[in-house]
Amino acid sequence: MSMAARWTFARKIGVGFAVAVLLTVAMGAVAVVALRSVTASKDEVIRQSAHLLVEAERLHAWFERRSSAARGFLVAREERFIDELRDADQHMAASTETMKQSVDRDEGLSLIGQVARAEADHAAAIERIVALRRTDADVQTVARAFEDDVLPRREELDTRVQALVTHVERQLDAARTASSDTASAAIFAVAVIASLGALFSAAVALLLGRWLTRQITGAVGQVQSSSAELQSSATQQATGSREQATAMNEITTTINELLITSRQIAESAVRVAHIAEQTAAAARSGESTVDRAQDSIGSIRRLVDLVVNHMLELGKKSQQIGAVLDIVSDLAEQTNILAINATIEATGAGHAGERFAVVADEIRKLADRVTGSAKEIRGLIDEVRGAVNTTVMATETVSKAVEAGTREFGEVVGSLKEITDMVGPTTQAAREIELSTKQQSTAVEQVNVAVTDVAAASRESEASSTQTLQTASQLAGLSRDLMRLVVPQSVARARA
Amino acid sequence: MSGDESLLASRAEQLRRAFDDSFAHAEATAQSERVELLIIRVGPDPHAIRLSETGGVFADRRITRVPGPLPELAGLVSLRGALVPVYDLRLLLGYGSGPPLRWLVLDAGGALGLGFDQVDGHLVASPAAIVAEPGGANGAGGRARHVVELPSGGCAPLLSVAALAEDIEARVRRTRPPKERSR
Repeated sequence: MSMAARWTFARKIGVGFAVAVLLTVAMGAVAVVALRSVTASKDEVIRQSAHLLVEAERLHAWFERRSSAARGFLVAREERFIDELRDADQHMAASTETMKQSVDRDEGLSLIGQVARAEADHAAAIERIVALRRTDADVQTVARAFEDDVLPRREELDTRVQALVTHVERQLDAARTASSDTASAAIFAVAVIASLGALFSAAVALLLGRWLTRQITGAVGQVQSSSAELQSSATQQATGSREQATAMNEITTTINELLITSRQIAESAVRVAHIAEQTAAAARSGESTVDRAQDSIGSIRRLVDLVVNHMLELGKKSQQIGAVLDIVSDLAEQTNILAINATIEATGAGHAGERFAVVADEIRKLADRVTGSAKEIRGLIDEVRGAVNTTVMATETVSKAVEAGTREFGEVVGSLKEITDMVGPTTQAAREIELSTKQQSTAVEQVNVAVTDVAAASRESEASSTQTLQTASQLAGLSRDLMRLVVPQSVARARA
Repeated sequence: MSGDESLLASRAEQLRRAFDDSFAHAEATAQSERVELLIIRVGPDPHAIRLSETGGVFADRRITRVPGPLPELAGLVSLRGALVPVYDLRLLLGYGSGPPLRWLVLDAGGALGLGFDQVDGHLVASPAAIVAEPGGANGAGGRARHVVELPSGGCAPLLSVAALAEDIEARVRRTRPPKERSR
C-alpha cells in the first residue's frame, strides 16, 4: 500500500485543494506579474516616447519662437526680440540635452546630434542675420541674406526635427508593439496556467473521487461483513447468554442442594464427634478386656504345646507297638512255616503222623489267626499313627494359629491403642469438620447469592446481546445505504 | 478309642478261646478225602502245590549264586545239612525274573528247591475242589493240568513239584556230556 493510500480523506482532499489553490495562486501571480510587466512596459514606452515627442514638439515650438523673434528683430530691430531669441536658444539647448538623456539608442542619439547641429547652424545663421541687421544694412540685403542663410538652415532643422519626431513615433510604435506582445505572452501564460490548473483540478477531483470511492467501498464492505459477523456474534452471544442463564439456574439448584448437603454434613460431623467420644470411652474400657484376653491366649498356647508333646509321645509309643507287632508277625509267620513243615512231616509219617498232623494243623490255624490279628493291629496302629500325625499337624497348625492369633492380637492391641490415641484427634477433626462445614455452608450461601447475581447478569447480557443484534442489523442497513450512495450500481447488482 | 480297645480285647479273648478249644476237641480221625495244599504266589498269580509232593517250606534262606547248566538255576542253599540247588519258579513258569527269592519249597526227596515270591496260605481242600483245566491236557514241564478253587473266589493252577523236578532233571541230563550221562 502506497503512502497516499494510507492518507485520510481530509488529508487527501486538503492536499488536492491545496494543490488547486497553489495553482490558482501561481496563476494569479503570473497574471499579476504579466500585467505589471505590461503596464510597466507601456508606461515606460508612453513615458519615454511621449517625453521625446513633447521635447521634440517643445523644441519645435522654441524653434518657431526663435524664428519669430529673429523675424521680429529683423522687422522692428528691437532688443526684446533678441532676449526672446536668447531665451529660445537656451530652451532649445535644454530640450536638446533632455532628449539626449532620454534616448538610449544610437540612432536616436545620431538624430538628436543632427538636430543639435542643424539647430546650431540655424542659431549661427540667426546670429549672423542679427549682426547684419545691426549693421544698418538695407532690408533687402538682410532679407536676401535671411533667405539665403537662415531659411535653408531652418528647413534643414525642420527636416531633422521631423526625422527625430518620425523616429520617436516609430520607436513608440515599436514599444507599443513590444508591450502588446508582452501582454499577449502574459495572457497566453495565464491561459496555459489556468488550463493546467483546471486539468490538474479535474485530475485531482477524478483521483480523489476514485480513491474515496474505492476506500469508502472497501470500508463499507468491511462494515457490511463486520456487521454480518457482529450479527452472528450477537446471535451466538444471545444463545450463549440464554444457555448461561439456564446453566446458572441449574447451578443455583445444585448449590441449594449442596447447601442442604453441607448442613447434613455438619449434622453428621456433630454425630461423628459424639460417636468418637463414645468410642474413646469404649476403647478405654476395652483395654482391661484386652489384658484378660492376652492372659487367656497365653494359657491356650501353653495347653496347645502340652497337647503337641502328648501327641508326639503317643506317636513314639505307636512306633514301639509297631516294632513289637513286627516281632509278633515274624513269630506267627515262623510258626506257620513250622506248622506247614510239621504237616509235611506228619504226612510223610503216614498213619503214625495223623494225630501230629492234627496238632500241626491247629497250630497253623492259630498262626494264621495271629497273622490276621497282627495285620489288623498293624492297620489299627497305622490308623492311630495317622491320627496322631494328623493331630500333631493340626495341633501345630493350631499352635501356629495361636501364635498368629497372639501376634494379631498384639497388633489388635496396638491398633486399639492407636485407636484410643487417634480418637482424640478424630474428635478434634470432627469438630473442625463441623466448624469447616458451617463455614462452607456460609460460603455456599454467599456463592448462591453470587450465582443469582451472575444469573441476573446473564439475563442482562442476553438483553444486551439482543440490543447488539438490533444495532448490528441497523448498521448493516446503514452500510447498504452508504454503499448505495457511493456505488449505486453495486447495490442494484447485489439486489439483482 | 474305647471302641478300638474293646475290639482288641474281644479279639484276644477269641484267640485265646480258640487255642484252648483246640485241646478240648475229640481226637481227629484220618481223613483220606482231604488234600493238603500250599497256596503260593508266583509273579502276580496264585498257584497251588500239594504238600504231599513237598519236603518242606523255608523262608529267608541265603541263596548262593553258582553257575549252572540251566538259566533257571538261582543258586545253592544249605538245608538240613545238605546243599540243595534252587530253581526260580518264575522263570520256569515263564513269568520272567523279579526281586530276590524269599520263599522256597523242597521236593519230596529233598533233592532240589523251587523259589517263589510269597506264601498266601495253607489250604485243605476236598478232591472235588480240584478240577481238570479246560484244554490243559498237556502238562509237560510240570505245568498245571488242574486248577483248585480258592475259598476267596477264583481258582489257582495246581503245580506238580514232582513233574517239575523230573523235567529239570531231564534237562540237566541232556546238558551233560554222553560219557558222564552213561555213568
